[in-house]
Amino acid sequence: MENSSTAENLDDNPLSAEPGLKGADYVVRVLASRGINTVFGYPGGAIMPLYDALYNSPVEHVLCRHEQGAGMAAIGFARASGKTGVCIATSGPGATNLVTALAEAMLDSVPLVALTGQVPTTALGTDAFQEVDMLGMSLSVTKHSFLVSNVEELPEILEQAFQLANSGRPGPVLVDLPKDVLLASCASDPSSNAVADTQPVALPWNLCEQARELISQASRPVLYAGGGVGMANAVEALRFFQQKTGMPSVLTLKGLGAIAPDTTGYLGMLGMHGTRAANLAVQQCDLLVCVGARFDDRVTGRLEGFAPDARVIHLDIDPSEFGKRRQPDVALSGDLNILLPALAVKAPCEEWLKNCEAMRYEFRWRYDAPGETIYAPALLNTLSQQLPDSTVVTCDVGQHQMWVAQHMSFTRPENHLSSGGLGTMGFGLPAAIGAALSRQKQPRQDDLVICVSGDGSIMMNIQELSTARRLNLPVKVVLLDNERLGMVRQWQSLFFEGRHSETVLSDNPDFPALAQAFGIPAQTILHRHEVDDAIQTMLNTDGPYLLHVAIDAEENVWPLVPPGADNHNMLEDI
Amino acid sequence: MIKLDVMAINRQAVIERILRVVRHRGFHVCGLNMPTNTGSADVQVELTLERAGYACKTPVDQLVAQLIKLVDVVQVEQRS
Repeated sequence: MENSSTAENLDDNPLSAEPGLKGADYVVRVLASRGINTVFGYPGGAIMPLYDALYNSPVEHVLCRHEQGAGMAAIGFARASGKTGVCIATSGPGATNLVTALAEAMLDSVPLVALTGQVPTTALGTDAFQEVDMLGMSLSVTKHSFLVSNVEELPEILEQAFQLANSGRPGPVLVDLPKDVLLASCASDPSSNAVADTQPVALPWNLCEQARELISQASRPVLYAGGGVGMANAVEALRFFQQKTGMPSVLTLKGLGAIAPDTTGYLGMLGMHGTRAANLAVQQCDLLVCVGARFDDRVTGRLEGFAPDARVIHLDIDPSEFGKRRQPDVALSGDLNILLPALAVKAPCEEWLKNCEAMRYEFRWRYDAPGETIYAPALLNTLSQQLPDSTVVTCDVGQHQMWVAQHMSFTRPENHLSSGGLGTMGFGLPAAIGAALSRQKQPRQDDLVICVSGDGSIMMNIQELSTARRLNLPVKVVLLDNERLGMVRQWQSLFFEGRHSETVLSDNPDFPALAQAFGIPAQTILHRHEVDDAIQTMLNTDGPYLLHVAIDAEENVWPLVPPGADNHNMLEDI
Repeated sequence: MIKLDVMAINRQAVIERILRVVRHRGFHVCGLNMPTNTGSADVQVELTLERAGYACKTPVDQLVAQLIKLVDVVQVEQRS
């Protein structure tokens, strides 16, 4: 990076106040003191003092090519590393371009701090150039937001921002920074702002005993785990619980990787595009243990018909999820690393486990589609088998997103980055950039990042190919091109009498030429006999690469639970 | 009618945040009373609510659970 430098430029204590220290310098020193070595952003007028402070700082700033790209890259960085993501934008349009990324972080509970420039406090409320009420705009898409009205507030607000983003259920926090605050002298003593450690909370033993009793009596239990497991760094606790209880398991889209795919009784993803085995098991179970998940509408289908015979144990860090969609019999809020071991008692479910294993075998995926055109699920399965376990796979939103969830294998949730709650087309490429940078900062420097995208989604943030090229990141884009907005086209075919309104993308650009214009090598494949060689070429090429894959425009994602149906009423290929 | 007493820290946009959650979670404000509190660290808000049409089955407990998640909200009580 042009403006990066080394840590030697700073004092041993980066937060020590010194003459001439400005608000902007203070912000950068807080980032450095928190070990935040990478931030993503785009400069502009009101935020220029912060960019001046970043120049010659130990914090690497990654210049993305759109603020939304910067926000999504920060999310990818956070999700792949378990750290806080930081993104920066200027006032007005720069800040408003971050809104989708804030909503993304809100719905997927990602710790993100957004630093936005603002017009000087003297100009606030005058409709000044590039002034927008960002505090007001942020209310519905952040966990909390601040407008710093004078530099004396800065230390406490920054401390709160990072603490809030990471505490309890993580989420995005926005700090709006007027230009005069960034330029003002900052004379406070930041070392006095340390936050006391959280005191451990006693387990609610009565509720734990009730939960243990339910588990020890359940003959058809199912463990249903979601994204909260990875966010809580509780994968090992979940696996311990599953092993001790012996119950079959299913995962949500965001939970994929929390249970190892080869675990006995693991049935895959549940819900609208889940496996038949997972959905049937949940519909038949007598106890559902929901861990770090929230009975999302894409999971439950018709809510009243979801797991109709099941008692429910619900574990979550956020008690507002209890009863929001499904009333639990026992609800426990807290750290999953403490709760799960406390509930790990054997369930009398050996026969049920065998039945679930039989269902898993009976409804296993098949890849023997006829013809010479490339069958996307088979390609993704082949690719998955050739990747090291540490590979991060990001994806965009649409048919390819569901095929990734169905046909690729993950052994850790931080290696599968998918836009779950918001469903944001354009997430995949910038998230891959953030993930690649996070892994470069860790010992696993050789980790690949695969971005599986579609011809609709890739165009939403295609400008970030420039960022991948400039940093020469090992981001490999697998672009599945059906010349359609495939998922919408599928629904139009199934539920709108084949009226394909505005979903034909037959005028797509020449994607390999476009990639090459960004300086990224690329190739197109049209036939399935080309798949193996193309994957090898992609994986053996240093730096970014784009593999453009032509697929059948009429291919659908199966199975599918139609809207308003119960999960056992799945549609198969029709 | 649903009556809630909300106690919150008197900081930026706290009333906006409370009203936004009330609206988004499916309730309509019929009455709002907030005593003058110049210089006070806390703010007391009495809300009188009715359900919006699309939230006719939403338990009030769910609204309370969402309100208490707001960083500046200290306490929410339902009055009979």
